[in-house]
Amino acid sequence: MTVVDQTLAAVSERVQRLLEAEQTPQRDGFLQAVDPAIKIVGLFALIVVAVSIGTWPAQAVLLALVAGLTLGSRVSPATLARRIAIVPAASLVIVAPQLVLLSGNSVLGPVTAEGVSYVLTFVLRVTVSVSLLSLLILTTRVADLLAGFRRLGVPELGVSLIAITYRHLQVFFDELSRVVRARQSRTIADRSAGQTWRESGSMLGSFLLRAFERGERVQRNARARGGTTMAAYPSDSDLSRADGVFVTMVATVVAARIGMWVL
Amino acid sequence: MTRALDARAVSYSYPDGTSAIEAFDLTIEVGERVALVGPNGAGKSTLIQLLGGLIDPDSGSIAYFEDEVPADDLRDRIAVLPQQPDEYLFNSTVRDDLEYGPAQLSIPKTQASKRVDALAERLELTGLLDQPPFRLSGGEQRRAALASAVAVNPDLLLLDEPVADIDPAYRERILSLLDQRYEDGETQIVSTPNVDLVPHLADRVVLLNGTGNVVADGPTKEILTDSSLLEQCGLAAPTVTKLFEMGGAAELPLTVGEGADRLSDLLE
Repeated sequence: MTVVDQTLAAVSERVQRLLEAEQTPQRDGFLQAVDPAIKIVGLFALIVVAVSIGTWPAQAVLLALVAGLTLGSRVSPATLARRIAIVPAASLVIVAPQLVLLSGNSVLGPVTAEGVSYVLTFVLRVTVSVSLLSLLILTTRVADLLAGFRRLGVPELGVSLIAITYRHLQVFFDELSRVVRARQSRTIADRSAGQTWRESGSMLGSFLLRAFERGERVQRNARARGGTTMAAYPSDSDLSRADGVFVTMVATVVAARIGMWVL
Repeated sequence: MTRALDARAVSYSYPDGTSAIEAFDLTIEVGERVALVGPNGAGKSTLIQLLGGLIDPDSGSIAYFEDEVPADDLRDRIAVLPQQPDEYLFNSTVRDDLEYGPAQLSIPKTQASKRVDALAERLELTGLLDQPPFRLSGGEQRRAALASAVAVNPDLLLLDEPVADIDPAYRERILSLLDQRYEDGETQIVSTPNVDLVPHLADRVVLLNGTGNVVADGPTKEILTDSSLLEQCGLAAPTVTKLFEMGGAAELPLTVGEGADRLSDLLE
């Protein structure tokens, strides 16, 4: 298996697992019990709070809240960490120069206390925001998420676009796995870097064509079944105790943030 | 009698310009059960998609239920099951997929759930309802796709090789479900290259040759016992029929059951 094949197979497998993670939304957890529309509004409110806070201790408190929500929703912390790790890591790489660029008291050689505080705040902010988004996806069925957006009055075009994108990403990466498997099963001799490069180009062309045609067929099948908007029956959504607890929790965090502003 | 489908001079070419279907005519009455039979490459799958209104013909017209309404406006009455079930199942769980059609058509949830549970039980899908469809075996996907197609209770059901890759026990369940729906008045159009299955699926056969032209259109018994006609199209009579033909029998059975009856008559 060439490096190109290995990379494509790994990326494809990872994305498919990400898209098909439907087990956690069915678990009997805290966020799973919250009404999807309330959950969308609440988690986005928490993200806004995280984005607006400029100190790392306050971000750490929010991270602790995220950890509590993760455990309460019976989501494995390792699963959440695997899903989000790349984003905080990338943000750390981007802001790391600030450790030495920001002027202030030195803590270790050219590293300043202000720089450490800035980088910590930035990375924590990204971690909290991405974790909250991931929790939304991990604890909500796609159909319920779309139903929640509809109930919140998001324009139908936007909801349909999300639905179609979700569906076609699955098709795209499933087709990629198939093409890589087909090539792998028929590749016997070792290939030179030049040959691998040429064959990968040809494979990419045929993959795009196949993915496009398969996407068309999936779209036709959706039409055959009554429409492409992915309208679905919402889960039974009588307001529960979990909704009350969640709303209270979010309201407290938002009120604390406003209090910090005023004071 | 009311016409469920009326196709007139339908022609279609693939995007590369190759002609797939030329001047195809077909009229199907409500309550009929018709098989499109032909060898591989005859254009059966393309025809099913054309007749189901999923692709537009280059020329000609297709009318449903004696109306000029396009198929997309009749999705509560017309269902199409394609050959590849994995392209038909695109929701997160099997239950979501079975409920997809009824939800699009705004059928009340309680009614849809009742239908879905009954279909799941009938096709032994109950234990799979919370699974992602992508993780099912080929046979399970085909059963789930069929259940999804009939969940809207269509009046006209088009099926592209509905029991390919299905093991005998589940095939019987699927055939029995289709039989019951036919008896309840559903019009069915089935495409298959498997002549042994045709007597279980249809009372009328439209025989296609390798280039997609209609060679014969008539009762299943008449067409499937005409070996020379079938050979012209690259097909052979059902195995049981062939066996009795080779033995010189005057009246030819189409199914194993009919063959067994004939044999026991002979033995008596």
